[in-house]
Amino acid sequence: MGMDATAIALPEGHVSLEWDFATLYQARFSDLAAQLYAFTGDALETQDLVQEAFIRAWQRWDRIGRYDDPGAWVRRAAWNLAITRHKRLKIFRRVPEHDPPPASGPESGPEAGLNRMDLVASLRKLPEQIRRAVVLHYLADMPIADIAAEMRAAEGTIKSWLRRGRAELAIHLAGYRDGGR
Amino acid sequence: MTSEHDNNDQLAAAFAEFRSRAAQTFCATGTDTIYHAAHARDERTRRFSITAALLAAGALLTASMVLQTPPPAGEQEPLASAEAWAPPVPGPWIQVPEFPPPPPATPARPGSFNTTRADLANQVRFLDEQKITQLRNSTIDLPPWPTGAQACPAGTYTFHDGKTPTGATDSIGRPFDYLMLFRASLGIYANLDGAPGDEMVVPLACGFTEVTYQLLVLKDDPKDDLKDDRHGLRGLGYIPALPAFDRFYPYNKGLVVEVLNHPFDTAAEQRRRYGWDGTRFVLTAGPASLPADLRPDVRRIDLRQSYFRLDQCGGGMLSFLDGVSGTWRFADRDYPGQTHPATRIELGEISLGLLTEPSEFARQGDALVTLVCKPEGRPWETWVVKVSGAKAIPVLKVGDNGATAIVSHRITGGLAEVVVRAQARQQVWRFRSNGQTFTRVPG
Repeated sequence: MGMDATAIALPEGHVSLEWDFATLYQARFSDLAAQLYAFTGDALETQDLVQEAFIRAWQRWDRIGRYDDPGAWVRRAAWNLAITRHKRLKIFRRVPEHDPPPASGPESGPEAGLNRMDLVASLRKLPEQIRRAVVLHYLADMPIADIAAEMRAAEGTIKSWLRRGRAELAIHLAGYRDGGR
Repeated sequence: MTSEHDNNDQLAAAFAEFRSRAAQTFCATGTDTIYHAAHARDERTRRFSITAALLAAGALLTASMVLQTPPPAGEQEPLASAEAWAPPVPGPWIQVPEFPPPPPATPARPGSFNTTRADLANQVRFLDEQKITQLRNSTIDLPPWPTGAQACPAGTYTFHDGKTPTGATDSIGRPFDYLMLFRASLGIYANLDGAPGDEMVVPLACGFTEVTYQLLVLKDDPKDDLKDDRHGLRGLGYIPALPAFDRFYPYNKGLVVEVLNHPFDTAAEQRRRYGWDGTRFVLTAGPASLPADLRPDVRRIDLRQSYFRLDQCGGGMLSFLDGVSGTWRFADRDYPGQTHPATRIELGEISLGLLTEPSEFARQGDALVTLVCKPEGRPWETWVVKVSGAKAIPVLKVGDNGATAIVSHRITGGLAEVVVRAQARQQVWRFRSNGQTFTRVPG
């Protein structure tokens, strides 16, 4: 139970649902962070995005807490935030699409263990839509039909993206391995 | 040739390992952070809705009263004292000493500061988006890289979207680029050479990724006769080799740079001033190197990369001079356009030491710091946070687990030890850090 939840005035109905929210938060946080980090390549941003999605979920918990899978709502919210911010970055800062993640060298930073696998760097080389499909498939364990619904694309398109993503990732990862890393 | 099936298996294994590592890297902080952030937003929304409604009614006098009326009693807790509330009054603008005096021998405590000093860095003129776009597509005469790296030679380079190859590669063939991406910090305007007109000071990286930056001072090239319509610029010079830095701003015809000890281990910070001697930039004030016995200088804390939010006081970049943050115009990214001009965050007791954490990286030290958040000049929340470099992570807040006050703290045995007042008596609580969150140790 959140320590401060009792110290502040919670909206009516929140208290009885708090245990479920805390369970969801603890259970899904790192999985969701893994997905978004694989997509954005930015650990700090990822932490912010996931936290933001959970804050929004808690603000609406009297409704979302009754869903069959509140985690799906949080995941969608986090992904929407990530994509919106990604677009903003591209527009306002002209961030090159395929650059490596900022401020996190391959051997340094809290996410160094993740970066050493070169998976994130390889993912960054994929177009955004394909990267998202690959991450949802491999890290969110979503079936193709669900990915298609979430990304508003045909199932055949998702399959094609996954095929292309797999092929390109295999090349990139092999390139890293052959590079002596 | 590898089959698609093999590829799929290998990728599935790679993602599974990634997921496993991610679970160790990204840990959920306590749900209390979520509850408080949501609560603070609800409160703000409610307040702004009320104010907007009153304004819409055209009752200027009424609206003015609303702005000067203290919030309801429930919002004033936990007030440290029964101090009378008054509308915030802008403090006098006082010149910041270029290099603050050495830290006091005894830890500073809240309430021991009687001056409010404005932070010059808050007045810096940053490059706007248009100028940034222009710079990222400029032709620039670059002087030799300040560390002398052969992979980053001098010459005339044309940047496309902030990137241009140096022509060199590293030991495994990755191409070196000059990178002007403005991700870590923006460039600024400053007149540093004494001639009319401002120069631009921009962070520039050189490598196959943005790992280390140096500071380049740019002038518009008067012989801008380039044929491709790209903007011509001349690199006046680099600030002498910097291990790492966060903020930089003009001061007294020079450039003050807040130098960090390492790009990924920013536990210690120095302020140095550099000036133009007619041919190059030289150190004119401040220490020339970082000492071996580095200590975190928590009198200036940069929370730009912090996960931490102080409810109504927000987050973002905070800097402290003499223990008082001054009036920091914090812009809440969740509520664009809203600022908190009257918010103060005071720096209280500081405890230095080294926390035991499962980190792979050598660290020079950590600091526990008491922060008192004072929106509109009234104490609102008191926190103990761990500060290491540019990050601050909450340890404890007054109100957590029945703590009614924070008496003192220290780092001992690799743990954060906080003396609190709870249940009408003093208690010693110990917390272990995993680098992301603190967990109370039983006993």
